[in-house]
Amino acid sequence: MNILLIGNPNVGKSAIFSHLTGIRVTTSNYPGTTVQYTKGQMIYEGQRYDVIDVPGAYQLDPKAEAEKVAVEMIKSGDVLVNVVDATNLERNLNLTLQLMEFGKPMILVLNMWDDAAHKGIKIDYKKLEAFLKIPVIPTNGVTGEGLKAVQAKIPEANPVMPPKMSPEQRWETIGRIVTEVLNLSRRRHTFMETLQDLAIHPWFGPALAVAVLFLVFKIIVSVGELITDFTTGLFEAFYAPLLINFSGLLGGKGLIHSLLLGEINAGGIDFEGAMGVLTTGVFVAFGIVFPYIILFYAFFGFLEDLGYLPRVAVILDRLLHKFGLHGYSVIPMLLACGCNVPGVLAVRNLETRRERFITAIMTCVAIPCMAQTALIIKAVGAWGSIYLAFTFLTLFAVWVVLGMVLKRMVGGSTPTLLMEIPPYRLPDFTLQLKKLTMRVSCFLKEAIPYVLGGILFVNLLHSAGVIVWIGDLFSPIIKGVFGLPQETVAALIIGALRKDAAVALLEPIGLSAFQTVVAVLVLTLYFPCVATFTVLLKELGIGDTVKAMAIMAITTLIVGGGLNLAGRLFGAEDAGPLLLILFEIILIVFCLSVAPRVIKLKRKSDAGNDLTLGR
Amino acid sequence: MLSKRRAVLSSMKNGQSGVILEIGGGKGMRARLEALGVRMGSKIKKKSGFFTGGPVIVSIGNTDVAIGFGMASRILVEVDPS
Repeated sequence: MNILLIGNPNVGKSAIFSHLTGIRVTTSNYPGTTVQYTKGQMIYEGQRYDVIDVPGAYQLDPKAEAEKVAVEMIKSGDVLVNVVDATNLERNLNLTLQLMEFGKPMILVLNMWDDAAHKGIKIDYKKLEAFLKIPVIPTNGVTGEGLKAVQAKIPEANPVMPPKMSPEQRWETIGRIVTEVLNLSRRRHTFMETLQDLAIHPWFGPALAVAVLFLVFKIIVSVGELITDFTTGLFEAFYAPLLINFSGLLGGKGLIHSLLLGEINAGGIDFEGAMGVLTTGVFVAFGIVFPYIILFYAFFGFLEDLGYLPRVAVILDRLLHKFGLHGYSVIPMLLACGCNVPGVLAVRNLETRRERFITAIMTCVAIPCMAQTALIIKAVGAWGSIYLAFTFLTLFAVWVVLGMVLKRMVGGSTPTLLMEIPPYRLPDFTLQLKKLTMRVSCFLKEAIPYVLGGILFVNLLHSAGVIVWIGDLFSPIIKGVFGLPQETVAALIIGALRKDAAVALLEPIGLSAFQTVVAVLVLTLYFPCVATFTVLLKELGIGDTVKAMAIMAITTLIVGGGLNLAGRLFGAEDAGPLLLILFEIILIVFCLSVAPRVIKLKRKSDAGNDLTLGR
Repeated sequence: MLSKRRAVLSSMKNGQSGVILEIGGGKGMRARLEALGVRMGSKIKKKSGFFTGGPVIVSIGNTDVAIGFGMASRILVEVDPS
């Protein structure tokens, strides 16, 4: 038997799903967390049920990809469990009435029951039950309260009498129901609500957003450095002696030795430069990337569950309009800062092909994932923070220019932002911990094989002489255009598999500061990692993915080549990077403020027809 | 008509409330707004509006909804006298 959990976005379907099935799925406080349906099993009184967590929908006349999925799912369901946000009864009932039209057995779950009580909302759910003629059960999805009662009702749910109503009649009915069952008591503006309003204040909001993002980045970088210094110490004290013994067992040389351990001598191990699977591979994965991943998701999980992300979307709405997008696109992009895969998956929440294409490309090209950022901080940061600033500013400039160009290149329209802004909810500590564990273990499972396998693969290619051969082949581009030594080709090959491992491979080449920046940027821009590429192919289709690849190649050539040229002209040290930073700032400011005005002036004549509703 | 004033949502002042009179734009847009509770006759309060061209945030019942500027300039509101 199939049980579908359906409801408006951000009403807590996924939290209820986790409780019913014991399967952990990501939950957070913004509409559109679930983009694909998740299936799990629930056993109640010896009976097996398939429970399906359906992506949220406001209505059943779907425009967005995610809502389309919902409609298709409903037709195959045996029992519909309509999850309703008790604090928003009126709007949620609109979907309830539409769902009843399918005539399936149905149960209404009044979730966030305690939230509603806090807000002075009282719902006479027995009366609601009498009105709708379906079981109504109050629940709390976070604690799991009331879900036993839901389970008990499922086997006895009967098909409902489908009400046939026009949209107007539907709202009329809802109006009648709400006046009967809902009781609001007045109360004071809470402290939380004041904070909520500050986050979307016209000028305080943006200032806060910049402060929050900068602070989070700063803390991740500095705490991350502290932790990696500590882990490096641990590796040297406890892991190195083990490996040196192992090296002795292998006789200190041979193919296996160089594959597994790389270049080590009895005096000690240079974990970053040794290039063996067990030396550099293990160190990069656990010693460097792992701490940063934990740090990032600790902060991100908090902001996500608090409900801050939709507010960032509101604040950046105007900026993103310059790229042919609207505010919601910032959510996939922020997700991508952790890992590009969930970022590209979240693109599905966007309505038009144009938005999906532009967002996916801007994400894959200019947003490095946390694993890569960790290695960038390590490799570039070693040359000083000015080079680090230079690297990230260049990525930001690429992001801006790419957005401006794509807006003009990709046809189609962009709808305006329309998004529910959920209230702040103080994140539940245990839930946060579970979510963090889930994300970190997901990283361990997916990343470690790639990092270790990638290094093994490159070592094998090295000993087979393939690397030198490919290096010779691409030497005109690598040497000529980017000004990098031919050995960089090994990193570029691995970069298609895993970015963190690729940046780690730059270490033994002995690049200059400027070359390190160029190499890191080329690695970021030229191709997403293979995992991201797979979802990109799935989300965009072959045609658009090919276009995306072409855009990436062109961007890489322009940025890598341009920087190499600029480095030669202005000098690659001291003044050069500073001049380039200045140039990039001017470029960004020009693109965001001056360029659109110049373009607008040209189009001024047809701008007047824009308003259909005059006064 | 003497005591009440009409304005499009985007040009209302922050903190003003009123009742939606008319929603312009296509059918698809109206349906999307309606699903969020933004429909003719809804009582709304404008919470925040960003500088020219930014989204408008309104509260309807217990929900806050962000509406892009283009859409907000097509929603006509009968503003409550303050």
